[in-house]
Formats: sequence, structure tokens, C-alpha cells
Amino acid sequence: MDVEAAQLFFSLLAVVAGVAALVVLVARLSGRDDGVLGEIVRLADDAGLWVAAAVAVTSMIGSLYFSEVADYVPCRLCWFQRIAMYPLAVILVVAAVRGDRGVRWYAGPLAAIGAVVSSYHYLIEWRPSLEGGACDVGPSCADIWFRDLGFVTLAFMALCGFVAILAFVVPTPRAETEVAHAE
Amino acid sequence: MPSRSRSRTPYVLAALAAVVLFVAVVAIVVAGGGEEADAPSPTAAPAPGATGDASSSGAIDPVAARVIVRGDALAPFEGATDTDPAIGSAAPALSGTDYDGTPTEIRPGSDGPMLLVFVAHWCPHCNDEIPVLNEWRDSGAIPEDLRIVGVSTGVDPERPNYPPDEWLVEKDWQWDVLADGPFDGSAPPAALEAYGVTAYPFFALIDADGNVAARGSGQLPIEQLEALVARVA
Repeated sequence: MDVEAAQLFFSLLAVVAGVAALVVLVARLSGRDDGVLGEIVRLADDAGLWVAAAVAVTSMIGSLYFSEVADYVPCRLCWFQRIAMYPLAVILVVAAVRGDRGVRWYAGPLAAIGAVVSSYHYLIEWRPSLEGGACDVGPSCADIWFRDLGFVTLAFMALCGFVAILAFVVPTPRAETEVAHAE
Repeated sequence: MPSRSRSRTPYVLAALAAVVLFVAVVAIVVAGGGEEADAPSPTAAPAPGATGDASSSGAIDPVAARVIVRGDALAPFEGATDTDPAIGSAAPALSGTDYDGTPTEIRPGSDGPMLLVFVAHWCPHCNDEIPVLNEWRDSGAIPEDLRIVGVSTGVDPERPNYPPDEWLVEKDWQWDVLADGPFDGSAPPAALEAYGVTAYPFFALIDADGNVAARGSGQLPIEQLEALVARVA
């Protein structure tokens, strides 16, 4: 798989993750316990740790691929997102193996911070003037390496990853109660 | 509940794996395997001085362009134009070509006041600033004796708007151009280093005596450009 195909591969995965996250979030926010939405919530709660771990690991692999293989030099904001994502890849895998739902207290804040940074990064990719009016001589945060499908950039991919992790790792109060009772 | 979790998780993970596999196949098929679609890379660039590659219409390959510097390099610009310690220092002379191979000489002290504008083809702020410069040009407000030279630097074939020669034509750049090279590993392009460029777009104003009158970086509106060049009026 060459760089162009890899870009498309990770772009499509990001879109899939983003759509899945939105569906889960809508289902959670609906508060429905029955029907399709209720089933989606139960499914997300059952397999959420493993799905979140898969998203984080895939995000980390993609990040390393683009910097180490494709030679896309990470900018300052990219590094902040890496700082949030890379630990998630480790602790979510451990949490999934152990079945430790308490990981949400560690993964949730990391994913939320990452989502905020990647949202800002994605914003300045479209509105560079928000960054301050100049590009760094090194990698610039307003500069984009590619924009697949017309809107998917590296920052967008990171945003989808963080939101997906949040959607799958932070259970609804109902699910939390069920798990507590089961334990 | 835990029993339901154990029974459904493998199915979810299997579905995930299927999605990943499907997406991989789609990406490979849509990208056509991509063997012939590889973008030019710096390591695949022709030797310095070679004729432009297939993606550049100029006589000079943008990644092979080189500038010769005479004089001491200025200290890196730290962002404050008024307190810049480089003000009053002798501006280094630059010798190179534009992308057509026409010699471009920056000879401070010999060619009257000059404004060097360092731009990078991939920088969105440079893309926004050049139309402002063009508007300034079209307004007729630029002093007649001021020579403006665009220094095309930070060239990178992997980034947007490559090649820079075509980009400058698209941006309607009508002043002289000096083709600076790409980063060579961690070594910066010669003109960029000589003028202490730390951000794009970057302005270096040289007075008629060949000394630095001002440096500045970032997008500047016409009013600030006029205030800048007033220092050498």
C-alpha cells in the first residue's frame, strides 16, 4: 500500500469511526432503553473498551506511519494530540484485557483534551488567520499535508479518534449501574 | 450482564476487522495500487542544476535551486520589528536565479532600497499575503525606487502548491524572483538562513546604503506595508 492508498485508508477509517461515534452518542443522549437506540447503547457498553482500544491503537499506528514512513513532519499541535493519543493506546488495551471500566476516569479526560486540541487544529486548517498570521519555518499547524474526500485531514482523523474513544469508553449512567450490580 | 458482554464482544471485534479489511480493499482499489502515482520526493530529485522535473515547467528544478550568500548572516528574527538587533547591520548579498534560470542578484547598497519577501508555496499565510501585495502594487502606492524581490524558499515537493514556479504564476507574482532551495536535512536554505527568517511570509527591508532597515514576519495589511517601506523613503 503506497502513501496515497494509506491516506485514503486511514481517511475512510476516520469517517467510519466518526459516524459510529455520532450514532453511539445520539443513542446515549436519547436515553432510550428499548428499540434500536437502546440496543446500540448496550452493544457500545458491552464491547466499548475493545472498540476504543482498537481506535486508539489504529490512530497511533496511523500517526506513526505518516511521520515515520510518509515523512509528514508533525507540527506543534500534532504533538499535543500525540501526547493524548499514545497513552490511550496503551491504557485502553490494558483496560480491555482486564475488563476495567474504571479506565474511563483516565481515558475520558485524555480523549476530551485531545478532541479539543484537534478541533482547534482542524479549525485553523480552514481559517489560518486564527493561528496568528504566520507559518513557522518548520512544520506549520495551519499547513495541511493532504485533504482527502474534500475534508479529511490528519487533524480531522485525530478528532474522529478522540470522539470515538469518548463515545465508547464513557458509559451511560444506566450501563454503569448495570455493571455495578453485576459485579 | 457480564455473560452478555463476553458473548457479544467477539462479534463486534469481528465486525470491526471486517470493516477494516473492506476499507483497505476500497483504498487500494480506488488509489489504484498507487505504484505509478507516487509523488516526487526530495530523495528522488535530479542532481542540483538539472532541468526541472516533470511537475515543474521552469528551467530550474525547484528542489535543486541554490543561492550563494556573501556577507554575514543576520541573527534569527525574534518577532519584534522595532527592537530587532539586525537593524543597521549590513544586509548579506544573494546570488541565484529565478525558476526560468534568469540570474537574480540581491546587491545591498548597489540597487537602491529593496524589499525582500520570503514566501513558501505551502504556507497558507503566504497565499493570503500575495494578493495583498498585488493590491498594493495595483494601487500605485509603492515607491518607484523600491525594488521588490520574492524569495521562494522552504520548497517541499510533498506539500501543497508545488511546484513554486507555477504557484507564483498562479498568484500573479510580477516582481523578480529568487529561487531558494529546500531544507537539506536540518540545514536551512541559504537565503532563508542568511536573513534570519523564522516565519513566513517574511519581509526584509534594505536601505539604499545596503543596511537592514527593518524585518518583519506574518501577514501585513497594506497600511503596515506602507509604514514599513516609509523607513527607507
